[in-house]
Amino acid sequence: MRTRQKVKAIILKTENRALAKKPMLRKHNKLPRHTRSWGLALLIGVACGMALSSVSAQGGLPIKAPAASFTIEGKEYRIADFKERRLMLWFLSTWCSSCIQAVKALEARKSKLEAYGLQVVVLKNHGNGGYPGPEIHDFINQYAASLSKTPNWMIGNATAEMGNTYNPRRYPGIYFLTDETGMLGSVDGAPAASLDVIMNFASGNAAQG
Amino acid sequence: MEICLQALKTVFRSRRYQALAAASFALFLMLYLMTLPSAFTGGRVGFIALPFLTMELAVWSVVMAALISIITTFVVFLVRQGMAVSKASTVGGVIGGVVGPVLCCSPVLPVTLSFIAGVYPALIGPSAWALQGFIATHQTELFTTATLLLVVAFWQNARRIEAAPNCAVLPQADN
Repeated sequence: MRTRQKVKAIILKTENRALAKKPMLRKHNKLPRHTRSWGLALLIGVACGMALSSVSAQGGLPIKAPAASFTIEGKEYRIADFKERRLMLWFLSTWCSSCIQAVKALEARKSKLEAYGLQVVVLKNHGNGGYPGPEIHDFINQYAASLSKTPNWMIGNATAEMGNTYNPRRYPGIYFLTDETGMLGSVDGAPAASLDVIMNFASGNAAQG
Repeated sequence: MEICLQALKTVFRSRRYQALAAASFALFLMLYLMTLPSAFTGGRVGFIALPFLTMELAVWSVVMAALISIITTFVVFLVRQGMAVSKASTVGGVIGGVVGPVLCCSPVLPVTLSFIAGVYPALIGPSAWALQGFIATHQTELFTTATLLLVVAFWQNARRIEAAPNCAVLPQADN
């Protein structure tokens, strides 16, 4: 009987020692499968976010700006009409936070942009990027009212055809910088975060931008 | 509430845990300060996002970083005690707080949706594109949900800490 108790005590001691060992603790505290999956998904998401953290693209540029037309206040314009001028063609969605920041930032520099002679064409994405929001003129009047009266600014709505040509992936905001020869030299998603590129392009120092 | 205060007292009695909490707070605060304004930068994360920081985003960053640093310290304490920890709500809170601003107005969702639409067109309807707009216009609600999830994680782990003395494996007395 005593021997049996002694054996039991030894077994208990061994079990307690084993529990205190690291490999056992690790096994005990191993993350549940769903938590690991979430963690993995988060890591992949962050990695993708880092890899694609902006629409910015310089590879494969410059190219000839694709032909497209749009209508502002009943008048039809073609991209080719802006030859011999530096052009910023900007598609935005009126719910997009980066677009709000961008109109404010560009309004603060409107005198310089006007002095450089940069033509800015702002078009609301066809379908507003898939989510409802204010009309383009209401949006501009709300965040940067003076832009609607600035001569080098044109504000309107993109057609489906133009959206498919310039923004087939339906980014909430994307802009294109096209030089006097109609060559498209720069693409980015957030003007507020790439103001130096826009200012350099407008001033004629696109190479440095 | 009492459980939470008691757990804080139990854990932060040790200087090592105080140091761990301070270090993780600094780390997570930087992470949030550089991530939350990314909705204004087209998804760019890092020092480039700092100039776009608003007072509201700074407050959210401090609140979420403080909660995560406390939860991290609690988790380390519980693991060292050989106890199970609550992680699901913490992961939910971190995802809700960080991924929301990154997804809004960045190319991540459009690229992903375009890819899926290219492979399985039937899966992606027009409403799928509304997701980004929803995230962009419900930022405050997303941050609130993320913070609530972190509060739940904090409370769950505090409860475990308070239960620790009863659940810990004690050495068996020799007969």
